[in-house]
Amino acid sequence: MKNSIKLWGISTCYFGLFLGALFIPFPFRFIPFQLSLGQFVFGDFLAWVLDRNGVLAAPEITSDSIALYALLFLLLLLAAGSSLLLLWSKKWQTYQPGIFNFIRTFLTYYLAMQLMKYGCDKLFKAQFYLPEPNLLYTPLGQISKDLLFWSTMGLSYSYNIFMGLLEVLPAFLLLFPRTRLIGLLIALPVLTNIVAINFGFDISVKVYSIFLWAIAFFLWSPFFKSFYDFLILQKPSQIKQSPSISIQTTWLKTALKIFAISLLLLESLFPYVRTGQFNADQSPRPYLHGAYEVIEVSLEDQKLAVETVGIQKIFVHRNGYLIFQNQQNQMQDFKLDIDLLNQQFHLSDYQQNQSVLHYQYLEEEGILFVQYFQNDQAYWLKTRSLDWRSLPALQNDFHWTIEDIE
Amino acid sequence: MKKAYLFALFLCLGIHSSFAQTKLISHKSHSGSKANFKIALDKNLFDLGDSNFGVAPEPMIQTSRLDSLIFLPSEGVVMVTHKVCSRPLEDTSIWQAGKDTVYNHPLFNQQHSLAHIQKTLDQDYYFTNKSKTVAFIGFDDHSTEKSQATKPEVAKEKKKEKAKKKRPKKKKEAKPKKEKKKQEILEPSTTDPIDYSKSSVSFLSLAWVALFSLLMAWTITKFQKP
Repeated sequence: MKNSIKLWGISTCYFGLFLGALFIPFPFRFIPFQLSLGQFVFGDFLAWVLDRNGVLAAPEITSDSIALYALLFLLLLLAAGSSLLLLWSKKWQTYQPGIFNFIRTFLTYYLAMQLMKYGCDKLFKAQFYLPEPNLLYTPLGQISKDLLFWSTMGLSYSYNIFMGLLEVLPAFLLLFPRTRLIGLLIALPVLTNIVAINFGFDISVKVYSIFLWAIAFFLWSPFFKSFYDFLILQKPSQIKQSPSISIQTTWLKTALKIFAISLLLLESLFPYVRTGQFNADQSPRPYLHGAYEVIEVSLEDQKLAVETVGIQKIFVHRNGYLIFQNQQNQMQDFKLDIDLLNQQFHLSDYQQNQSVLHYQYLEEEGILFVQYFQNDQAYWLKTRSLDWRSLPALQNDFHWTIEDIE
Repeated sequence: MKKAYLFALFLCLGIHSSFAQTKLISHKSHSGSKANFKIALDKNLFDLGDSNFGVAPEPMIQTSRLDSLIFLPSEGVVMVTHKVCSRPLEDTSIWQAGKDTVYNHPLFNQQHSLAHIQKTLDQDYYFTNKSKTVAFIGFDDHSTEKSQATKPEVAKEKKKEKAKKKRPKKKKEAKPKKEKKKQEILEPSTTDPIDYSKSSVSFLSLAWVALFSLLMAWTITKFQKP
């Protein structure tokens, strides 16, 4: 009985993690069907269940959404149920080792791929990017801690490389049976730290980071006894490699391995290799991108005090947003499209109301004129481009000694 | 003609956020308020759909192939495109394969030489095919570069014209985009070099990787000592 419960628990872990890897919709570049698989199989059912229970959930299964929690719960139920059913099957005992080996190998490569992807995103500054001008001019206390953490990380290129390498290294080590354990020993604390950061800074990748940590822990768990014996009981201990998929045909095994590694490398590296952009901070910014300080306000050719309209700064965000900052440092953002020929900003707000503002840009002087409407009056704001890249936060300072500081 | 935003789309098929971030961080990064986040999430507004799990985002359009550009002197340029392969989740409201006429396009006009158009297409646009495979009809093959105007320069020229006129006193519109003039060219204010639209020919790519793996495996096995 005890053995049956143990076997049921182990099977549930295997199937639960396998189903999670299969159905948690993740935006892979070369495996696009994975993204829609979870939504296709469970999406409607989950939406129906949540709707029936009066839960207002986001329409798709995304990171830390109610739908994702519901999906994981459902997958766990499925894993536990199928494991229970298989316990009664006599054939299961025959096939179980092979299936478990397959799942273990699959999870190892899945973990390697995710570590590689996140690692490369860090190495090439695509994850923790250079903070946008609107954030740089927002008082520190007004930025929520998740964004503050994200932005702070984005300030140090060298730390991003360090963090990236800490993820890329175990990803490589996981690919080869001989180095797999070392890979797991590096991956586990790295993922533990990520989980702690996501919880500590309220970053909404909590569920997925726990999922990746659980895979790493699960893959390491067979070695637990050896480590316990050696480190705690201080007894001689031997590490046995976990068996992986046994494929008799050598060329097929090699082909599958090459396929998996190629896919992993393509998934992580291809976008960067193709564009030749290995540091996203250096990538060109869009037209008018930056921060502008209001230096003059006019209404029908009459100059007014700058405080008249209450706007102190305007920002053009890299992702196509126009942001107004008022005197109280409150921000208002609009989706922006720029009509170059007619010199118009086409703005959309969150209610999808659209409006058009005229602008004029004197590039040499760095002066941007923007229309601004308030109380049915059309003001013209004369703004001056700010050298946001010279802000202290963006200086690449490094000092071996405190005397170096000037 | 489909949406005016098609112009923008073709300019930005690859212009896409390289930010690898969560939806919430993406929203907050442009100073979006908490109150608006729920609206944006429910309606999947703007670029919120590009962010998830903190990894680099997927492009919206990955399957566009530019077949031909037909220059019509009085009517603009007809772009003929088709879909390379179907992707179930691709948003067809943004782009659909077929014929579309674009007006006052900053690149597809007789101001630029064919060589310049081809070069720019390869460098800055993200169709899945190279410009060599595009049929250019009605474009002057031998025209010299009349203008290499970059975006700010285009704006500058226009500015000079406008400077002669008085600044517009007031203009505020709240019309839906459909009602905008045909002549509008909308330039999304984002340029981002990291894009995956060319990369994801998905299934075809997977097939190539599989073939490569088989070949490699065969080669290794063949030359391995018995």
